[in-house]
Amino acid sequence: MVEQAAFNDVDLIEVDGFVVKDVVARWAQNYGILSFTATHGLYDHDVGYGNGDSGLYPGSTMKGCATNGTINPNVYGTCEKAGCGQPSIEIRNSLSYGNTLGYSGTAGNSTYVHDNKFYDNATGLTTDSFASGHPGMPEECFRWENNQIYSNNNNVFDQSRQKYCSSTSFQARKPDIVCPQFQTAVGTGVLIGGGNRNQLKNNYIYDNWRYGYYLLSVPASLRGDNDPSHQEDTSNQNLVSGNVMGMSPDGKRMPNGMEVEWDGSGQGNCFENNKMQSTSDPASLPACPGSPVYMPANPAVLAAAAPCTAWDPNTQPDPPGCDWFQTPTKPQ
Amino acid sequence: MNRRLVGGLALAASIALVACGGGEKKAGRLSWAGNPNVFKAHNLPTDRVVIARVENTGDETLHLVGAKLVVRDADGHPLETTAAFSTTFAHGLYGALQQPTGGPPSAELARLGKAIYLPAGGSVPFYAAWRLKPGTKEPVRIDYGTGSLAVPRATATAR
Repeated sequence: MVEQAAFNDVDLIEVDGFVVKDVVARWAQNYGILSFTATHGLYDHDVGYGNGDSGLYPGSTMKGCATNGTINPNVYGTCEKAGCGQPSIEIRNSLSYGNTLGYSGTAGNSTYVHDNKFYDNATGLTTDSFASGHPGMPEECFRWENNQIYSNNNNVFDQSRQKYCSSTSFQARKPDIVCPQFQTAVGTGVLIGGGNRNQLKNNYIYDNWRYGYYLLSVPASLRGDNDPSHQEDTSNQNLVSGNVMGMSPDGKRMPNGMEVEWDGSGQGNCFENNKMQSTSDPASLPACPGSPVYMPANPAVLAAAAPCTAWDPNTQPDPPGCDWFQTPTKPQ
Repeated sequence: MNRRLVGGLALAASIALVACGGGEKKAGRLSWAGNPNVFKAHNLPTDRVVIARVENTGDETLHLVGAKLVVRDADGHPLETTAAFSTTFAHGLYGALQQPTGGPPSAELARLGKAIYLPAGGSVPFYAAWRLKPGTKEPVRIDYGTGSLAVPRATATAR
């Protein structure tokens, strides 16, 4: 048991080869178990709960085509032609619950996340390409398979909580009160903020009252890369396949608010063989191989997300135009 | 002097015109680049959002700080507003409860579109969101200190 770290309970930086097994990490100000710029790692039978950011965080992981050490992981777009290669971090048989995020990882490349449960967080899993200074951008090539991602409706953003968090030092807080460090959409199973060639396969995703799967593109400028040729380099070729959405493993109907919310942006994103209970946006999702050309983002979807950027528990706990911090109505 | 007036003066002062001199030049001026998309917010009946591109149609660089933009109703009354020069959700590098002393560095603010320099002729993505109050008269305008942008009424709902 590791608990109440002012930053992260378990912190692995620039490690090549590690195992974190049978560890319980709780109530950290940020992350329960974090690895950063680390590779050839295994999280096994771990538990993360009550953390201010995520329970499990593999970020800036080496890209799969670089795990033999022959390619500099910081070189832009290393795996695009080489394929996804081998997983760099494996996470299995673990639980992450009661955090702001069950799993997160900026530039969490080539993670193989399987046979875990992510539940009772604000958002179950998220990965992104929008924080500057993280090696390995843009994110690509996760394989998330055979997980249960459910009931992520834990609203850690209610106004009284935010007031308490912003007015109470970490040392003085009650350890089991989660104070969110970053904003996210309460009620979401999986949120991808700019990723490529990811594979979400054969998971149970249910009872997330906002969205089961939420896919947004992120222009490279938002990670500080202003190269004009890079501005459409996220939200491409992501595969969502074989998932059971809106139904628990024992067959009980437990719908997500919407199965899929997608800004429509990117090239080659596709959906196949998923079992769905409720609606999606767009209503018709593209079968594989998806669009051959890069599609622009739908402004109506951007309009629901962009204002959430303004969130700040000290100065803007309830920004106009953002409903992410309201618990969605339980879908019927 | 009331707080609104003080805020308005501070806003005007904050729009720094980074100019090369020359009395014939037009000050920086914002215009819509294309048609703005105005939405009623999802699940928030009093909130509105505009998604657009804006361009500097003046001759001088504009320094724009999203937090200092104010949406005003048809009578000029300020509304609760957020704005940035981006149309994509993103979050900062620092945890909300572990911000650096003095706030994030300028590069971080620029990356997130919270404070930018927009040269003459340049354009950038832009959003603003605001909250209507009982009795608010529309249409509204976005006041950026040395000028304002007229905002059409919302015709659709954000997703």
